[in-house]
Amino acid sequence: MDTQTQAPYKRFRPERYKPQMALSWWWQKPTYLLYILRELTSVFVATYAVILLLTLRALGAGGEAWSDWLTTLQSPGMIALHLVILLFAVYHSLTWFSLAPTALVLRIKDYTVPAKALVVAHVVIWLLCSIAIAAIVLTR
Amino acid sequence: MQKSIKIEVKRYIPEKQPTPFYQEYEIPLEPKWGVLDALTYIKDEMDGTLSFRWSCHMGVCGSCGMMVNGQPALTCATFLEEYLPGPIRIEPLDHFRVIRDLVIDTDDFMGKLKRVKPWLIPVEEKPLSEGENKQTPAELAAFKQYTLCINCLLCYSACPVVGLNETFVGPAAIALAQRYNYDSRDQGQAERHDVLLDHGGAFDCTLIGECSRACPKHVDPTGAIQRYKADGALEYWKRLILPRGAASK
Ligand code: SF4
Ligand code: FES
Repeated sequence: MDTQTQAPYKRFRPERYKPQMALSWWWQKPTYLLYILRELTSVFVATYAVILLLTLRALGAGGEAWSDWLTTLQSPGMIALHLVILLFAVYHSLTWFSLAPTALVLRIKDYTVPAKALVVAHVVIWLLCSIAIAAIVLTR
Repeated sequence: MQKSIKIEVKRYIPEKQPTPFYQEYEIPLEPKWGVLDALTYIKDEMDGTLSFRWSCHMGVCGSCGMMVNGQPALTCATFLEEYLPGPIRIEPLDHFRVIRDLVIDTDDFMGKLKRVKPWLIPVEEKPLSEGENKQTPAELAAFKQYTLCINCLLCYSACPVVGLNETFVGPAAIALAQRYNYDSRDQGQAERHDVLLDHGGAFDCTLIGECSRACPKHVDPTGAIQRYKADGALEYWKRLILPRGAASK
């Protein structure tokens, strides 16, 4: 975007010092770090998507491939990986829902629904859905 | 009781040396002094060459923004007490070109602000004889929060995207665009979409949220930008699908 709308002031003080951002900027404030972690969650979510695809492939192949894959999934490394992915997925969801009120302003007549209520509503619905899915999967 | 406090000021004096350096001042610790009072003391009593901006001394003019111990702050509304025992490090606002010492170049921001047309754009000018443009309290509430911006630029300093991407129009400019977009008397949305949907517009924001944490006036630029993204995405698809000119009024 060209932002120049007028000639810059140059007459008496033409020099400018242009600061450079440190490569480690994301490390310099806890809020930046939390943001980078949130962005990083996508890597773990993508990893899980790949695991899911591999699971489907093994299921399609059936028989030995499937039982081999099940053994792989039960290895300590895989379980640890799943725990890490779960952690990041939960963090991702929580940050996502906590940001919901920034985009969503709910006005009912003259009353603005408070941001906290929106976050709580999102989280409650998310928990209910998770419990429902868990109930369906685990009771089968 | 502590009697004095050390102030480290980042100085840039182009005629002396091409890069900034830090200078330390030991000043008396007055219990009710703001950081701005400390700088004023240094300038009046110790070193008249120190340059910084200020005007109102009461958090409304938006000219005294600086980095105080790494955080963007209005120095007139930030007190020495908060930083005991010190030292306090004062630097020019991050991401801006520096003219001298703590004085930043705001030209780039002014240019960006103009781009988003932060003024009322009515479809047709109403003659004066028809009287004022009335608004209901609800219509005012739709944008009032965004009118509170004092252009202090703390949000620009807080935002890493501003630092990494020079074309990004930035938090306050988008909040001020929204201030007019949500005004019932305004019909300039289409013109602002042209800027905000473009490169450097609202979609360059990666939702870090630091601008809203830094804002001393609770403008919540993060919210303004997210709400724009929702409106802008809709407009983008309308422009893609609908025949020319049918999208935004
Ligand atoms: S949005 Fe807030 S931080 Fe940004 S310029 Fe306006 S008042 Fe300052
Ligand atoms: S001097 Fe005006 S806002 Fe600080």
